[in-house]
Amino acid sequence: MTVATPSSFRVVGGVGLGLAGLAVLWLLRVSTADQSVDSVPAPVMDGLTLALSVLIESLPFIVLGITLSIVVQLWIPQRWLFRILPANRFGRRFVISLLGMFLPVCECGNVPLARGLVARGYSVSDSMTFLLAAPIINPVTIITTHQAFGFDDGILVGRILGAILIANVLGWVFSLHPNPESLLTTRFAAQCAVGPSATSASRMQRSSDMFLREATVLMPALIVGSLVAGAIQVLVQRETLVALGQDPLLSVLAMMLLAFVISICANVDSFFILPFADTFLPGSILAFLLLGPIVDIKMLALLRTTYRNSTLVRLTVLTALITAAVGTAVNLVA
Amino acid sequence: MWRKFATWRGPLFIGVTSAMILWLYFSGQLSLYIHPRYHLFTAVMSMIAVIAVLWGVGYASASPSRPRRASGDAEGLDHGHPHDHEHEHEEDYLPSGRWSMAALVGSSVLGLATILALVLLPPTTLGSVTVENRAINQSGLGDSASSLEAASQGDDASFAAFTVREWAGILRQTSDPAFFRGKPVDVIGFVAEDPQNSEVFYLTRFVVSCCSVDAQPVGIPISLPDWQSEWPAEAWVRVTGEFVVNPNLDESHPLVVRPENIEPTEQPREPYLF
Repeated sequence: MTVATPSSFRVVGGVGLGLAGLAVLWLLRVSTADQSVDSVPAPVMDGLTLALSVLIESLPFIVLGITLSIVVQLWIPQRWLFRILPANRFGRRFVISLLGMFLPVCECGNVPLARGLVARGYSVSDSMTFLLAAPIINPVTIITTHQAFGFDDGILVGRILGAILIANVLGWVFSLHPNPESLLTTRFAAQCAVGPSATSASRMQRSSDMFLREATVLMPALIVGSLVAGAIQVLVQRETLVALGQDPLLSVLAMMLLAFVISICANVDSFFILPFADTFLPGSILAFLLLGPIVDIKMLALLRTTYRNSTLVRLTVLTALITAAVGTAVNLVA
Repeated sequence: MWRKFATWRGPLFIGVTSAMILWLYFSGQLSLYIHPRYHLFTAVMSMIAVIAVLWGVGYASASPSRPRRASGDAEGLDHGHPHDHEHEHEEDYLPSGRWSMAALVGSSVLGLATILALVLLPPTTLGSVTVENRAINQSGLGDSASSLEAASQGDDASFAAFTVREWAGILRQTSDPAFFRGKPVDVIGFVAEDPQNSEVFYLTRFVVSCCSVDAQPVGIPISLPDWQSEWPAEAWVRVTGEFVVNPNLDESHPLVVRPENIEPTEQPREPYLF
């Protein structure tokens, strides 16, 4: 690697400072490891343990997602993303909805990728198709869904087919828009019109910058999502959910609401929802697994950087309708 | 100051969380949060995160305006906030609107509280709050025909290896007292109240299939009238005895363990069953 600035002395100083901070943290941790937690109320402690387990479970996938999105954005020639696309519109969107197989990041990592695709010349509706399908149609999500559910009740197959359906239908709907640019925020559209900026930073340095920036966007959302998930686990009695879980339509809506609030990553959401599988009908579990990766509190915040509010309302309503229909249909069949 | 914090809170959160995950891994306590099959993957990714943050800190100290936008090939890819415009650096992270500012402050406070809890509060297992919330033996975990088969032709050695989960699974499948005769129970778990029956307590373990957020309490009924005066809830005990017909016919359990001996024991290093 080449460090662009001459001040490698300061680099060593900064890293040394970071290492010293790490040492202090670990010392603090070791010295507090055996203290009593009796003063903390039991529900708070259990809620915290549950929240931390969601955080610790998701974090490695976030790190993996950030790393892969850096590789794709900085280390792979962008034209690879175009060469494989068929000319036919529907064929093109179908191939795009499978692109996630090569870009295994969860939905949080897909937002910057989709923005990059638009900036690189993908149409707005094509980027939408990618954005909606890639969190589910990717090897990590497929593997974790399979680990959690196997082929039980067609949840895995339903999830894959449902995601392809939603992505292609919404991509098609948005491609009918007479002026697709107006789906984007003015700021982002203006930015796409400006070409790439020259930079003197080395690729290693830009990778490092990108890692920190992605962490800055994703970590607060992840932590808040984990805390909400932990709190809900403690506050909502399982019996309440069990009562909702047996109605074919109500349980679908309850699960969609849960997915919207929980804002958990597609790569791990199967495990999150697994303990509910006993009390909820399979179509409702499927609704959770379809809606969560596309529309939730965290995703809407991320998407607002790129798409206009009116676009997001349409996106949310259409996705929710298709999800509810698919979930209810599966419940009635199963 | 605010600006600097808004820029650096992500690296701070991911760095501290990853460092604490590494401590959990090396001190053998990561299984309090996640299933052992993810331990190595989680540790490796945490290590990558710690190194990436240290590296970023190094670059940033060389030129203080970092982390700046990763421009060039990645134009427009630095997502997430309304001000991502060329030539802006840290300003990017300070939103203008009142609501966005509130969201920034709120998520920062929650993030700081979370990493403080990770550093200062000792890792603990789930307790009776979660047991009550989730109800013992509500899920089908432990329903395995294999443990029934192992029990029907097993010897004392195989019974000794049975945990609460195996016995609970067998209990679901048969309530024939003859089946359990001569089959010694020797298990550890923690004491939990049975909300429906007062003269038994549940000897309980949590079963975890991914991370502790999916923990399910599984337990077997131990017959001990007035158990509350001897054992507090959440106490870890080792129970030896045998399944017999419940002497109290008013209770909902057809079979209960008649304990020969109950002794206090240490919480196991891995309190959850996987």
